Amino acid sequence: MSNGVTNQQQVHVIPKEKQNAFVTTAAKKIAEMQQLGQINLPSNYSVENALQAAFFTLTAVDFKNKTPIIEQVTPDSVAFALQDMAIQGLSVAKKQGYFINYGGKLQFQRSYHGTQAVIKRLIGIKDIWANVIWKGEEFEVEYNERGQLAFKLHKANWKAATGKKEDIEGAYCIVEHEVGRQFLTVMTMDEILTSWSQSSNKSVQDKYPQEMAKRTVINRASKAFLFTSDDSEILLDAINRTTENEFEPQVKDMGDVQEVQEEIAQNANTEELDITQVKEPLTHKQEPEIIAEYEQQELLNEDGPSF
Amino acid sequence: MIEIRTIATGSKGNCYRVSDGSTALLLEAGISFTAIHKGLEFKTSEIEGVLVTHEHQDHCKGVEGCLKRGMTIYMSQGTKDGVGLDNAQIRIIRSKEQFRIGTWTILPFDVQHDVNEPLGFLLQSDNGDKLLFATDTYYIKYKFTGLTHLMIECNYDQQTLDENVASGHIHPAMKKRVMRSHFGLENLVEFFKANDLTKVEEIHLLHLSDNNSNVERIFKTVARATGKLIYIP
Repeated sequence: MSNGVTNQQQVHVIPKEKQNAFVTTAAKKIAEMQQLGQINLPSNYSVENALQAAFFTLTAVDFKNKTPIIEQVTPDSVAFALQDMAIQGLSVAKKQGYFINYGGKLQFQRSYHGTQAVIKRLIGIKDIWANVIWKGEEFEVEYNERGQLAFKLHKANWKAATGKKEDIEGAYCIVEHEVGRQFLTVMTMDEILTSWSQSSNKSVQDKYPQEMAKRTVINRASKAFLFTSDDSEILLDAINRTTENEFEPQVKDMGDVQEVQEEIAQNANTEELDITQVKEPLTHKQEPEIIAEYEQQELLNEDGPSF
Repeated sequence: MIEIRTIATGSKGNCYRVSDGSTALLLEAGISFTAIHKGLEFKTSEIEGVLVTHEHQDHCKGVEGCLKRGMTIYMSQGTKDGVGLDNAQIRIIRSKEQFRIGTWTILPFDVQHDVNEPLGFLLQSDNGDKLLFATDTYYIKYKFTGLTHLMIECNYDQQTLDENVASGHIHPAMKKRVMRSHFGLENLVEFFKANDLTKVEEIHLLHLSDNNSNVERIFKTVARATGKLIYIP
């Protein structure tokens, strides 16, 4: 793409006017966030290139879909979806995610390649990978000394990998920390199927069950990580949001804001709480030594013989 | 007399030094140790204890550095697990079990945030002053008496948050997240109404969001609701 070359030289230049307004706005927003230090994009990530690639995907017309996806969804949702992608430093060109139309609202859905890329960028995480367990393969787990589920053994049989959904027994994902600690997530095929039953990707799941099973278990493993991470970064919000998007039939209804308000109204400021007074408040400055003596005195008084 | 010094506040990091004239404490260590060191004018040895509310980076980034410096850190078991540090200088504290550091009696209490075992602190000095420290909680279950100093979160105000959602600056999903993890102005006003503020000398409003708060509106509203001396660091 010739755009790639031009864009590399003009990092600070605002994209040309004739390019789609959404792309311009999203790029501007991302640049602003970067300047404010709200997000930290990988050094090799070009926002403009990623947005450009996204724009091509969104406007693409093929034989099946006569209208491009961008015309089927609300402009607002396009802006959000583009932001979600860019904040996470992902690109549809690298198959790190897809744009999906959920009831007229565009959402960015991370692929498992995307999740792997994002997780690896979290501080302290060295690698993340997943494998499928085929029927007839030996797979063992155990609880380690910390009481966490840990990987023990997976004897793979390459002939067992038939590529058929019925032959998959489950899948697991390992997240490895820099210090070598590993976190294991295992899902049985039943669990995977339950997760798939929520989705609208049926045809893809039937066609590539192996890849989709990996994706599901990676997403499950990542959720545990991402939700417990720091909330200070907008990056994580975007990540959490696209993780939430996973298999959501439609955009989450935000109506439960009222629920939060009710919860607060019901529970806030109800119970009395105070410090139990152990000593008379002292009015002058106490040196640590004196306090120690004071305490000893008290002890003596309590334990000594009573007259 | 309690002296409160804000070294850092907000989602980029929180760290406060409080002293009753005898014992100095650090509330949160959410910035790098170098920044804490500088903020304390290099007098880290004066600090007798560091109280940490929960494991988010903007509250515990500097914990490791403080430990290396030999400082004693107080946190809940859940926070310790979240931070993932194992060190003899970490003291585990529990909600509603009070303890002493120098001239302070400290009562931790549970707060409402999206992490494991977050805490707030009620601190009473032997000189009679009583300080409430509560941040990263979308409401407080408890009521307090005889408070003289308040250090409390006021992360957002509903109007600014709603405006940001309407204008597309904030994703709608984020609104719920903010409301379910942080103290908003409107809820804070309810808190002020429910508590006895007669002895309160100072109110420090902490952790204002860069985007979702209008400082002027917050200042005026709190001033009207309390009539107290307000600091927004």
